[in-house]
Amino acid sequence: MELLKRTLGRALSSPLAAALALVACAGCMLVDALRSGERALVFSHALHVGEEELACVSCHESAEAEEAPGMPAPDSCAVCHDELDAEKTTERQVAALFDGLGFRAVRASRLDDEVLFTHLTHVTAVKDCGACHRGIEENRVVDAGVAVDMQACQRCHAESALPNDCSDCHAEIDRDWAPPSHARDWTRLHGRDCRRSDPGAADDCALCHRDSSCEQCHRVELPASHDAHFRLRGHAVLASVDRAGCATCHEPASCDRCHAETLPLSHRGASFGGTRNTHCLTCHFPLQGEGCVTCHKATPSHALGPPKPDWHTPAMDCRSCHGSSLPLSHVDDGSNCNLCHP
Amino acid sequence: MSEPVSDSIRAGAGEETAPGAAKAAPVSGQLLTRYRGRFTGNESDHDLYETVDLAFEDHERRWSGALLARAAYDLDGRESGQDDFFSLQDTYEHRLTAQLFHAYVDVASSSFSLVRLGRQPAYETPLMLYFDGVRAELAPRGERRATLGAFAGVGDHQYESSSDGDFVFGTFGSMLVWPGAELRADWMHLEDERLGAEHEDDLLGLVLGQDILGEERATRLDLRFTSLEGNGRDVRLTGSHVDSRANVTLQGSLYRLLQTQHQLAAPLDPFSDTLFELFPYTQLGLSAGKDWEDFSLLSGLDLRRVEEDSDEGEFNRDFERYFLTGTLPEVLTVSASMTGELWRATDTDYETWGASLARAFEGGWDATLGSAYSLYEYDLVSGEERDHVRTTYLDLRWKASLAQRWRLRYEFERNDFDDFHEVRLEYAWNF
Repeated sequence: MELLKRTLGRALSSPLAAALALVACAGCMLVDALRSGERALVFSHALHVGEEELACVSCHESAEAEEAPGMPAPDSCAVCHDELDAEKTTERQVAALFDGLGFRAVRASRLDDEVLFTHLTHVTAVKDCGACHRGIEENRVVDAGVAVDMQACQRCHAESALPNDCSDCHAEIDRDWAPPSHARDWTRLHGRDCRRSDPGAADDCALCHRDSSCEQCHRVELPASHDAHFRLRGHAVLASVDRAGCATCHEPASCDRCHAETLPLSHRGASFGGTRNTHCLTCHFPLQGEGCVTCHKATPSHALGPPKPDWHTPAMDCRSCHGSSLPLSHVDDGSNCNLCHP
Repeated sequence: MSEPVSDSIRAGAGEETAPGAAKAAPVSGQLLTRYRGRFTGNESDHDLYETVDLAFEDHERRWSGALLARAAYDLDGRESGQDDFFSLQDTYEHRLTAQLFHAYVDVASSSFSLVRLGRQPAYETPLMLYFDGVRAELAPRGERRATLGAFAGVGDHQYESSSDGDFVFGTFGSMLVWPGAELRADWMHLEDERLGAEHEDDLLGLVLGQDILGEERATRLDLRFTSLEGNGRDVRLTGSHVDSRANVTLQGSLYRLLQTQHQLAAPLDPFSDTLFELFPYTQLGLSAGKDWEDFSLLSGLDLRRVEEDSDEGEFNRDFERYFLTGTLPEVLTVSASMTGELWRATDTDYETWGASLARAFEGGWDATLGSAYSLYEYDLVSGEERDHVRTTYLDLRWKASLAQRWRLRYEFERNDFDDFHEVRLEYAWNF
């Protein structure tokens, strides 16, 4: 818990984090304020179906006889509402639900033209409206929520051993179409959802994707970040920070195969190589880590340099006793022996 | 070209499907041919790739299968590991290399939801796995949808030179424990011989997932725990919430690595041959996204803290990562996207900023023009190393028909080493 507090504290105190949060909040509020759009129609199925226990066909009069279920007509509502609406304001009267074309929310549950669906067949076969219009008895706003849920279609078709392929219900299947969840930088977000062992049928990746969809990105193709600089140096920088990111696509053999075959950029050129030269010091003095042993497994660690004799102190000038001009047994100039010899 | 494969494509040659009539053709898939040329000062590299992505199924649906493979041919050949274009494919002694990513057959059975033989992925296991072997999963039974499964085979490690000493075996069981909640337990046994060393590890995984589905809101929570050789290895809590009415997506995760990871069997190994031990740490991830009619925004952060300060080092760092992406789906027929990402790690910083404009044209054409700038700041010698990378690209795609697509991409990259040019020409045939 302490770690979490420390982490959050550090994150929130970062000016960058604060700026990002501010931009996000400001953006939300600004766009929400400017957004214009049709408001959902307030009509309570919960009141009519749930509390008053009206049958569906009381309002949708042709549901059991015709393909179009029929939407409420002003006359039907007037049976009760003439009296109920007498003291209501105009906008709260049932007449507000209608315009010149009829019931205003008629489009809320309409399916796309390409969907191969007959309402009458389902009414006859299923008989229970709530089986498809799930939760209708609690619905209080007529909007897209009253539309048929594809997941319910699939579940029922599967349980009844009915045709359940995409093409059984959809006339147009476009490989370029993507569900709304994919719209917003989905490549960053999909990982947390797609490895679920039992996702809901409607958002099951397998509806549109095969295993190759995963592997095309994770094993076959290079991500956009893997440019020339990334190949030459960037990969080492980022792998040192977050190796878990590499593991999304790579195994250890990916590193081993290249590092056993290629030289780092710093090792190239005529000035590099040979014995007793300064190649270690070119990059690793003072030693910042264990970079050499990434490839040179047998390289003794500088941290394991033998300690100085007890009577030596850090302030001593090593060269005064160990020779000022003779080469030492290793490559540095003896200016800071204490780095390796504690 | 990681495109979804729809039933209309499966139904035959990319033609529109007659309503309710079409059934899968025996073979469908994609052939992708790509030329890639790369150029810099005195060097160039020319490669040819052929990727085959197939799905096949008999008419009675008694069996089906899939294959994904790629062949790469180095048109000019690489002779040493010292040029700027040397990459993994060039580590082989042949100019022509081939990789088989998966090739499996599924046998239909009323008792099993899956019986699969061949080279295959396993995504649902605690550790994502590829192997050559067999996998069987019982069809879920009862109200609790209880099921059992098992797999065994030889691990597929694409860049290892030999599969000697490699073996995987695993089993799992899952069931609904209460409405919307699934409990899954996995046991995996991994053997891997690599660089002359033999590794053998047993991993136990437990996942409890809870779905809370509303009319317009869906929330998912996952708690995952794995144990390595009887000791707790890691624990992860993830959650996501989608509000489709408000067009809001929220995701969060809290991960804790409980024990130091040394050399282990692949793919469990944390790149220890190169990056050494991975010490315990805690990582928090949060992201939030919202869509409006004409604008969408996604932002997030990841924070990692190494458990013990004394464990911090070159390959075990604290870091903070932030990202922000804004998209304007359509402004004057052009869609625009802007993104930024920053990493602030101990002794190392990285940031990248990019923007792109895309427009679709009549006749199946679309074009994307983009540019990105990246800055690496790291501590190779003095802590003041800075690499600048500027990239500009133009991507043209032409959907010649439902079945045929062309793509031409040019990318120019200027970094502190040199200027690089890359040209890609692709042809994809879907059938």
